[in-house]
Amino acid sequence: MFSWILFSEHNAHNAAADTVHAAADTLAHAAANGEHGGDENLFTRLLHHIYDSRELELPWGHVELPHFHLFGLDLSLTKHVVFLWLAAVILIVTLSIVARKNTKNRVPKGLGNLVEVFVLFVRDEIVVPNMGKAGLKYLPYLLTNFFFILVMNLLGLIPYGASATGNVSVTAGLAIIAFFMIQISAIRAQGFGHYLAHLTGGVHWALWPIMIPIEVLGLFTKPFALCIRLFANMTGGHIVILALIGLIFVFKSLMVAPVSVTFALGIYMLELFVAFLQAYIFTMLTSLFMGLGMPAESHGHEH
Amino acid sequence: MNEEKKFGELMQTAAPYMTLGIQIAAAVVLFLFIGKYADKAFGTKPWLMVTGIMLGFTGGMIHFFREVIELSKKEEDERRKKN
Repeated sequence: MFSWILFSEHNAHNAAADTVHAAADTLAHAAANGEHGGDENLFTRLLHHIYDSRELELPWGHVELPHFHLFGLDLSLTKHVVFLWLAAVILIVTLSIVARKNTKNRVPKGLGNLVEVFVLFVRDEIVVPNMGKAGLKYLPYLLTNFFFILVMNLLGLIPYGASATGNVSVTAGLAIIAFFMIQISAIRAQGFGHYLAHLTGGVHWALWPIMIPIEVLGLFTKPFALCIRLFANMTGGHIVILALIGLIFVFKSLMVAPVSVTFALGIYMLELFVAFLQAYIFTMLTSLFMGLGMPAESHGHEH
Repeated sequence: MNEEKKFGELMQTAAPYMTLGIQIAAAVVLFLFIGKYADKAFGTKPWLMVTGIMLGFTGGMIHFFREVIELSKKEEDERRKKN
């Protein structure tokens, strides 16, 4: 139970390093845009809430985050880094409490019960159908993935919050970890020789110069799709909500407010669903891709 | 065939096909760039790039069909196992 809690911390640090890189990029971009002239339209204001920034928005104003420079790299804290760490801390604290409680009472109640529902769901509906019993040793990783992404997604839905998954570097970090997990599980299940043989695509040797690059490319397209899917889904939802609220200010009329607030509330509900759905899909696809690399015999298809 | 599938099961069936489209495009683009660099190296301006596009498309198609045949075979096996 504890291993995956620790794993989540590890996970967070890896992704955090990536975020910082991108944050610097985004900020440079924003600065460049700002210099062009002060045309502050709705869209630039809207993007201000989507992009990573160096200050936190709190109910009583803006708080500047501390700056760090290490080995010539700009490792300053940014909004997304803060929320990424917050997600990790929330998970470490709540899950260690839940783990301790659940080992004590045989019938979990309250929060322990809620967490157990998700854990059992990931185990019985995602890991076992996709990877069989052999996949259970990767369960800690997939559980970490699921809870970490879920909490990051949900943090974006609270007021003054931001979702770290709305930053392409965070999702890229998660996808890079997924990439290594997919390769490692395939190599462990098939053996290195068989793994390499699979890369030739099983075609005539004359076609190898064409097929090997394409098969190698195929290894990267799957995590890439994972990365973009999560990022786009989270960013898209936020943009739609902000744009709907922004309509009030575009029309400069309170008559629009009931309509746009109703629609924004509807999209918010959808976002709530999408937060769970995307965590599920990321975990499901990772386990599916890991399962594809495992020999078919080991799959337990007990429907 | 008309049995109602759960969302999860549907996703599991559909997911392997989802990256197939990107794969063809990526193959063409990869070989396009290889051809372009080769052109620059040998000074044969458009021809290696055109060849690269063709090779990439051929490879992408071969990969696509092999994958689809393999996946549909796997699905057939599973269906037979179930009945």
